[in-house]
Amino acid sequence: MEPITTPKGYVLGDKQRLQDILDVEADLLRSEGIDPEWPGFPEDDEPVKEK
Amino acid sequence: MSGEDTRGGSTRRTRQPIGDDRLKRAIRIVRSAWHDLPTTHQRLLQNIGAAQWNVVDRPLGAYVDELLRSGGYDPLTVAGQADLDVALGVWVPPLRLILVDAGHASFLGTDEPTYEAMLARVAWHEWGHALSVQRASSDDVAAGERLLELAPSGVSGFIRGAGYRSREYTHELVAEIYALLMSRRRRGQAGQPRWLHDEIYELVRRTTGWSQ
Repeated sequence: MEPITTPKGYVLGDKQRLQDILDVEADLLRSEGIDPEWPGFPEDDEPVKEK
Repeated sequence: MSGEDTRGGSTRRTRQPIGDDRLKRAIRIVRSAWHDLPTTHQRLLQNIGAAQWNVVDRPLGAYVDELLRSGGYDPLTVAGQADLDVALGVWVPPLRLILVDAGHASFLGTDEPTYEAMLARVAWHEWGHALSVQRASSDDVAAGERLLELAPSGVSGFIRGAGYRSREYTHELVAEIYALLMSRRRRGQAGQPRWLHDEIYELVRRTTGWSQ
């Protein structure tokens, strides 16, 4: 049996909010003159399969 | 319906079931994030067995523990399960599976563009993470603390503030930068950003196959 190293996953610290992550991204994009507004994905009409 | 939990002196939102429609929307978003990856990266992820993903509406610790037990692996420790229960997403190497928690309490009340941007961000982060875990060298992992010093302060601050162990810094850094590069690519931007140190860019190129 393979020993398990517990993955920690993508987590926020106690003092962090989701918006903080996006704010960091927005600042970096703005520093290059890129509009930070989320451009979205093309519409996906494919049905979602039940898992 | 209360969404606030003030136990422990800090305010945290408590999760609520998101419902079938929101879950299907979340699956579509992660599927779009997958389709947005360069074809060569999709192939690379398939080749290392990291192309499987699932989007769920439940805490990931309990779910990963259940999957590990079903697969005949040792269960997670109670502490490990609790750690993962607060994760937005995770790459689980023994299962070759990426999981995203679409109902994470942090998503509560977010508008649709923010929800989409953040779910895509989590998925890209986890694919980058899987590539780093598989392809980074032991020297790369050992250099984590130094590499973090070279990273944009907002990125290094997030990684330090989230409480990762120093031996996880390199993988988290690659994953975050990969997600940022994908987000930038979605906006039609290619090449090395001016805010990214050469050494980190080369690391990301080497570990993820980034060649945009």
